[in-house]
Amino acid sequence: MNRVELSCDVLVVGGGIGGARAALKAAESGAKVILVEKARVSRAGPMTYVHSQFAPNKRVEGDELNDWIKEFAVGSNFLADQDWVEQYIREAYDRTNEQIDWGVPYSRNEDGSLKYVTVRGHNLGTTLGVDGRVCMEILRRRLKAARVKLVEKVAVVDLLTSDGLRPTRGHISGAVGVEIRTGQVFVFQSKTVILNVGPFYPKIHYAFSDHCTGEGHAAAWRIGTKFAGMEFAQFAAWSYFNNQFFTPGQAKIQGIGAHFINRSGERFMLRYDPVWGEKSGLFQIARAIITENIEGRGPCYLDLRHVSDEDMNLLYEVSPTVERAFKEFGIDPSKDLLELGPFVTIGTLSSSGPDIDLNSATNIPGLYAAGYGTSCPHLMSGISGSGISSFSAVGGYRAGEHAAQLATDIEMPKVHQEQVDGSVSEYFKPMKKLRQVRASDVWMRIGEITSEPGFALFKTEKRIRNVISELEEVRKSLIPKMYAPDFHELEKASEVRNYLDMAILACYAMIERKESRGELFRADFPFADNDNWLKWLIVQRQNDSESPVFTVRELPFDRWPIKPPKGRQPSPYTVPERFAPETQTHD
Amino acid sequence: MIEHIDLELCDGCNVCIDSCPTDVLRLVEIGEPWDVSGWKVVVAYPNECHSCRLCAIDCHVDAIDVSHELHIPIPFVTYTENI
Repeated sequence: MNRVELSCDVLVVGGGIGGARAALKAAESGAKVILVEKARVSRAGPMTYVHSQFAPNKRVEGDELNDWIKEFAVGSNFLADQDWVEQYIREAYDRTNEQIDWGVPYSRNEDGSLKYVTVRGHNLGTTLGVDGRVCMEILRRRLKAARVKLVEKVAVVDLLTSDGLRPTRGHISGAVGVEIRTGQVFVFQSKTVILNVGPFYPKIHYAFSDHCTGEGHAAAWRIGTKFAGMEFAQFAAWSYFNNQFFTPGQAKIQGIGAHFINRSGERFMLRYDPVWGEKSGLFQIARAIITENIEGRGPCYLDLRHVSDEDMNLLYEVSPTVERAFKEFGIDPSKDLLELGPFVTIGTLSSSGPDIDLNSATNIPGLYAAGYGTSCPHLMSGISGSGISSFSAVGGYRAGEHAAQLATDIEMPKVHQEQVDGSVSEYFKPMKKLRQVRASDVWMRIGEITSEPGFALFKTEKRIRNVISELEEVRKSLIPKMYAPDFHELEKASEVRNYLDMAILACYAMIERKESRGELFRADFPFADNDNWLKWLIVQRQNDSESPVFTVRELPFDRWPIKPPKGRQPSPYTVPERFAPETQTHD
Repeated sequence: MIEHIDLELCDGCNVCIDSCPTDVLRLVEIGEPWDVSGWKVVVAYPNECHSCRLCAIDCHVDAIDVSHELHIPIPFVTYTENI
């Protein structure tokens, strides 16, 4: 089959809000832009299900700005890049105002003024209710008007480099994509690439983003992109209600003042997180519920009985799915409690992806990254209520601006045909020979390995190493036996193969951080160690081997406005006797 | 999951197929022995539907019925009472 060959100044991979804002800014700056998306722009990624966006209610300056930065610094356990936070607070205001001008219907009071509220992780920082799907429809129309070429239902399976090597010592030169229904191969030659690939999840059906599986992350990893925050790739959530169904809008549910109660009716979150209480992060709440269950105070419930009709209507207005799901399962939130089903798995929650600077540039010349598919430097293990979609808009805009600028200064880089052939051949392998294993079998096997409570909840170096060897065994023995009877299944095989690589990388990172912070809980280091671990773990693939190479990045607290406390803080989570660490706990 | 597609209402417009982020729907031509005929949407990969409802929201003849109940295995466990 002939390959479709396209060339451009700026190739944007992923059509969520970050990709859309990047493409719009690059096109506005005069660049020729292609946006490639595996699903359909406005029907893809977590933005489709966003119900509130971080939106400062004014231009925040001076002392007040420091108070806002402090909220992020504390929420991120002091790991947030405070330069990025400052930029984020300033520019989220500008990006939101543009979206208001473009007609995005944000929630409003009866008098027509914008209705700002706070959600989890914020007491100062304000958010606006919005239907992300409608926002993306408006951005889609703007993309068309700006003459951005949309290439949809095409998955980018590899990135191309000017020296034809992975990892590269050269420059980005484009990408290889495959149409997911027909197997049509696309070769994109491009001066710059902006990755906006979203989180990576193991088909958890949560946030309805099962198509976000880390293919873009893995492609960036293979060419030698530096990653940060991989040790925090611990997805956790509490909203698997009554062991039956998920709903989106958790930040919004927390924002209207939901209570989390245990069997005896105690609002236990105040014990685990005295600062944020019931507005704490997903991980913190899931872990608290699990600890309540372990200590015999479960099951735990979501209690909305005290919430006013006005607030419930506000929730339903921005998140009709919640209302529909409650109706379907016969739940009356003014009378009924909802049993909480917490879970923990390997995937993006706050930070896990390419390391970016203030202009969204990675270490690879010409490669930019934006949105949830980056290390999210403004959070870095932090509480993520509504902190992502506006960050995507801010980072995407910056990436678009700088990529377009760079594209005017450089020549079109060379595409190496053998590099394209190698990527295509690897992708199509599961179709070549009839075998037994299907992608869904591999997902279930990965789930079995990573759900084991010793690993999922009470990590020790030994347990993490055991999981790595089991996952590596899956990579060695199951992945080569995967079979795809059609192009759709072929893409599913690619998804699980790439997720697995990122999950193994995350496990290696979890070993390196010898403390408990944010989404990483180590039973053998059950404390946050501010004297030794207020730094980032950077990881990179430096040669052909699969073994990751770690370095640490010190943080410039002397220069930043918010200073962390010194010393150690014990973790609030209990370790039951049967999950006690094999070796003595470090103290 | 998608509980039901009303094939009498479905006019094969293809919109839901493009809406689906996990690509579970396909258009097929049906006729005898079925009561309806023509190009209709079917759930080709039911195990990948994650109940996001985008197909139902976008269907202009309201032919698709989606429930929030997940009928597919989830690759993790929930830590409810005992571990």
